[in-house]
Amino acid sequence: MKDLQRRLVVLVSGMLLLAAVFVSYRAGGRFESSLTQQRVGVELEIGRSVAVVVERALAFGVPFDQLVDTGRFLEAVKIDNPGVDYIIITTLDGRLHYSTDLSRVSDVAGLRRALAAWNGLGHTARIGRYFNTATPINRKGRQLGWLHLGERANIIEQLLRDIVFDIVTVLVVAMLVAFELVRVLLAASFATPLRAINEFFTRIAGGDFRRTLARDLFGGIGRLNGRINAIVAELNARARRRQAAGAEMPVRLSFDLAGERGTVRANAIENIRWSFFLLIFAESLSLSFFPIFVAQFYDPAFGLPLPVVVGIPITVFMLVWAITMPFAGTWCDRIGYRLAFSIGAAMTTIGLFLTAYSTSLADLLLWRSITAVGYGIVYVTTQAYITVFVSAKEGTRGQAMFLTSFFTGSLSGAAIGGILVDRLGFAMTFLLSAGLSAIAALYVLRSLGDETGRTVAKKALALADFKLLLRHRHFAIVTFLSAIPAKVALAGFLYYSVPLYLKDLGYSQSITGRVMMAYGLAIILIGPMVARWADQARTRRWRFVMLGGYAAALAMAVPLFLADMKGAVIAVVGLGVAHAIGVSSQMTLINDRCGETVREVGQGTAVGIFRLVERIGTITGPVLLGAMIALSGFMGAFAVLALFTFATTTLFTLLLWQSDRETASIEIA
Amino acid sequence: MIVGAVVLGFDKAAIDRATAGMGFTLLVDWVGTVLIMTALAVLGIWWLTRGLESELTQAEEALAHGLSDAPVPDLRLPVLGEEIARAIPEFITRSRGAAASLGGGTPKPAP
Repeated sequence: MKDLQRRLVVLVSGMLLLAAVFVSYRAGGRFESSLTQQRVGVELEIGRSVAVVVERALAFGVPFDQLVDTGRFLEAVKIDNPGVDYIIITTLDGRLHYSTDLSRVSDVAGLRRALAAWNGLGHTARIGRYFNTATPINRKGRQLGWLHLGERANIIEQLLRDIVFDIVTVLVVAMLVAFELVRVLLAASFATPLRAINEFFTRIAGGDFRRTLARDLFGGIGRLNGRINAIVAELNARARRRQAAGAEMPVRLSFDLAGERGTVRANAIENIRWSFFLLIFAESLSLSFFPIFVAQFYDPAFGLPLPVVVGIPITVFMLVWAITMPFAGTWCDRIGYRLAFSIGAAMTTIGLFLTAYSTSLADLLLWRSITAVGYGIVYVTTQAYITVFVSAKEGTRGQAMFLTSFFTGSLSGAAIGGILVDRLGFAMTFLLSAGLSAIAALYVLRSLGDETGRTVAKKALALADFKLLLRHRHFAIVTFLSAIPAKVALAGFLYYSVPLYLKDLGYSQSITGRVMMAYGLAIILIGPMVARWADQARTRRWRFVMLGGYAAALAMAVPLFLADMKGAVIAVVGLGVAHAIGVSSQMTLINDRCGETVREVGQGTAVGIFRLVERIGTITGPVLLGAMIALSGFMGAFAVLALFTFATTTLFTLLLWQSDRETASIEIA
Repeated sequence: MIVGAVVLGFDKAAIDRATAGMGFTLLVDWVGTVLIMTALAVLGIWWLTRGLESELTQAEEALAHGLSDAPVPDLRLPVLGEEIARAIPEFITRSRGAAASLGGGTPKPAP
């Protein structure tokens, strides 16, 4: 079945790629011909304006071969028209009289030969790499020569070169969204119904005929549901008739005597994955324009500078999100993941809907806080759900999937949001986000399975939960020596220092945005592959966390040796790869090493506390880096951060290694 | 010293017509590509899933006689997997067992 799914993914990806290449090629061809005509028209006008000046001089009686300072005049025209590569004035037989500097023109000899053979039948012709446009130069109605203007023929190529990163961004985002859709369709057609049927048959094996399978909408394996349900419905009808007749019911068999029609739903993590992706995508639609949206509510009467006011809703969102997480963790353990996710997504929906109609900064803060609470609930619930329902041997893959979904949703949402807001405006884009978030809530409510017996904690969050976890040696080692340093690197290096550093190097915000995007892409592309290896390593999973830490230290040291854009890109991609290696394994490592304590406090609670504590790194990262940059400049700050990550990783390694040795000694004894 | 300006005017309608024309051309290209790719995708998916389709038909056929007295079939479902190939006949057997224990005479043929 996996082989079939893989083939389907390859087929769909191939089709998508083929379609994208074909449409791009055709569009390129259309633009090439249309823009070339326009450019030739512009060149003709430039040529005519130059020819008029030359003809004026000739009309005053200046001989054609004795025009003064003509070269400098042509250079000035060339500077005023950046698309022009050369301007040449020749005699009728093609001898060159005046020209701009031809040293940067490729194949000057070939050009001279072509101009000598110019027959004047057409105004424009292609000469080597150039479109040559010729304008006649006349005196008293008699043609004396030609004025040739040259422009590179690859107009489209030049235009595309300027926006190549934008095109790549759009293609990557389109592929990411398409992959997510393919995934959800494959899950809905194959994996989920198969899992549900297997779970149903397990119940039947235990004599439980009370439940049926969900109605199939996708036409995959779920096609069998109708036939299976018909058999169960017939048996239940017979059982009800037998009960009505007052006959004794068979032992060890249970039937739906009350007509409750319960449905078996499989706990397939693909279902929560897609909803999580959709919600993150919906929330991220506003990322690209949110500061501009907030600036609408700025009033100088606040007595605060605009950048500070713009930052307030973002800070409040982050703060509420962080505070929500441990409470949300305990809560989702208590009420179940399906309900918790749906309520969280519903709150996000309400928050986004109300944000669309914000009228003041106070309004906005309130609605963003509601959104953040919902977002926090969904974030923790998803991670807890994946941790509980993914088998222990696939734990890291589950966490990598969580990270991949988060970054896929975040990257594609931010990119598409920027396009949508131009067409729809702020309010409609927020309303669209709210709609998508509502779909995520409904999808989870409908598709997620019964969690009876899987959730553990049935209590409120207590300080004792924090104490219990933080006193656990391995939880403390992973959290303080790996998770927090990773967040310091993420917030301090990537989110804070890289934009400032690139600005210092003279790059624009859009280029900075694209460079930072490489971090998320590295996690999306590398994460799942590395997670597979980490799961194979089982008891040595911690080595991946170690490797990730050292790789992060190395990546952040790269700008010390390559102090340019190349160095920054390598550092950002390197940090993405490092976090893809190390971060996915952190939660799995905690579950491996602190299983009993995690079960005691509850999976969701543990995830929530872990996520809250690691936020220490997110908060301190920018502050620490800011101080270090002020004290010792970018290079000093990068060196200190790389050394800090190296030191914490080494300590992490030594402590876990020692702990494993102690455990091994006890086992031998 | 600036003493004046040359003001150029363009007919906006002409530019709009050119833009709309290019938009339409690109749309036609896009629609053509989507139609061709959709046809190819459907064909490709049919080709890849024809084995699964036949197995699902086989399983549906077996389940259709789930409560009849026809012999329990021995299914071979390499694409769906051995687990489900074993589980369907087991389900049929258990269902017939349950039907028998509920009484009501001969098992009713399924629709």
